[in-house]
Amino acid sequence: MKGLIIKDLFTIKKQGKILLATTGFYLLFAIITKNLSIFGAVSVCVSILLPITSMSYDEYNKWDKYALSMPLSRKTIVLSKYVLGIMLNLVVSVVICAVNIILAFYMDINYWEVIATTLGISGAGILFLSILLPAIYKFGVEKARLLMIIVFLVPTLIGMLLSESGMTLASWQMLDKLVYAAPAVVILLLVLSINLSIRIYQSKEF
Amino acid sequence: MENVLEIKGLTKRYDGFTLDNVNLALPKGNIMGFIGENGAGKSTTIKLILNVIHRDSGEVKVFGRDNIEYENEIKENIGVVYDESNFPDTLNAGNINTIMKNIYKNWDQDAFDHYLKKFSLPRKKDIKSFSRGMKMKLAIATALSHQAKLLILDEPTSGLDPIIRDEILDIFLDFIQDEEHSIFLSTHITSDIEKIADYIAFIHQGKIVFVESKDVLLDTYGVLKCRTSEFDALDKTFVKGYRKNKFGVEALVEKHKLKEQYTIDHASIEDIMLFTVRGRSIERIDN
Repeated sequence: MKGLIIKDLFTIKKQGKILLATTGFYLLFAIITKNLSIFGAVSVCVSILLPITSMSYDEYNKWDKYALSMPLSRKTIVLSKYVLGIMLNLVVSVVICAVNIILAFYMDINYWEVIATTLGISGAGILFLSILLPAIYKFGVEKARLLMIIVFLVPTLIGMLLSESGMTLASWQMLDKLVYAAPAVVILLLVLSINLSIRIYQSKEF
Repeated sequence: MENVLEIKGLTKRYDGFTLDNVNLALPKGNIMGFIGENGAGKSTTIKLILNVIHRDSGEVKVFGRDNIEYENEIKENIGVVYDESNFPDTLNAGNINTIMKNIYKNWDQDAFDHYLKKFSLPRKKDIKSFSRGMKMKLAIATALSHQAKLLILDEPTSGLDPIIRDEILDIFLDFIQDEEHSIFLSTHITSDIEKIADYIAFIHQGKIVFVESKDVLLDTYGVLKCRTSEFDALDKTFVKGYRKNKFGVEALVEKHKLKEQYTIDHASIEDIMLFTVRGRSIERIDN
């Protein structure tokens, strides 16, 4: 497992640097405008894009066929991608949280909101990961890219529609309550996704 | 003699191709050349040994143990090289050392360094800038650096020039000096096999045509060149395949069994392969 994660980190180091520079730019933008939403969204995207990039390298070089000649079970190979994704997600969350706290000094933001925002963003990241990884294992990176666009677009569209629809204050409050259930839902989906990916990968031939 | 690799009744069905009831055994301390044309089933067999694809029936034993039940233990002790480098090309040799150290229990950093030097492979350059030969050498260095007892090689020399091929064959001969070591090597370059193999397994259209010691094969068969009339008078029991052309007949024969005095040329592995498959065979070479 450790060897696989190290391999992925080495593989994506170049893309990682480029994406890091990009997020750095958005961070600056966020600090100047005192608005973290774009930075949050971009860094979550990055944390998902990197594991997917590593999988596209794997696919191109037929790495999986090779990895399976090593003392690595199929389960370990699948789990390593989730661990990588979650690791990157944690890094991103810590950064977002830190920036939020710094900004909170200058603005009137309460800390509960900081934590809620961070959790929301990292939860969304895990959710995307849970949807995309089984799809990639099933259809391959190229075909799953389309799904990726849909996965990113649909929530945005729903958000836009909701705000257009002029929901009442009451329904917003209900949504607020739903947020408390969100972590459990995210974790459940993650577990389901891991199981599904392992099952797909077990029957795969290279 | 103890078999390091044993395959019995191995079958895998695809749409349009079946690997059909493959049987073979590689005794410890030997090199087996696995030959056959492209698409004959060599890679399929190797993938089944490695459990990269799923078999329909049959069994595979490596080091005397089932290849699926004892998968991880077996894989600690085998080194695999495919026909191309499977490392993401943004890695370098130093990275590979770090990665493999964390994958193989017996990863031997000194051995890896030794091979990098021996093959003059740079440590810090991206694999992207490597030639095909360098990439293959890196894959071989990796396969040799975790104290593997069996090398499974799927056309490791295809697409390489004769000089590099010869270098690589020397490395394999070096490896086999230790009598605990064995090699299963698939290729369609028969001259490579002739140089190093102890045993030859020949696969054609998904079926094993023969598994035989190389010396026995080379000693048994010869290429007879004679006139058509002479050929027609011949006892065909000893003819394994023949080709007629306007000058006469060329035939693969069991040379010691021919009573008549003819000039019989040495039959190369390639001759044996070609006559068996393409010659209008009178009788298959069976074991």
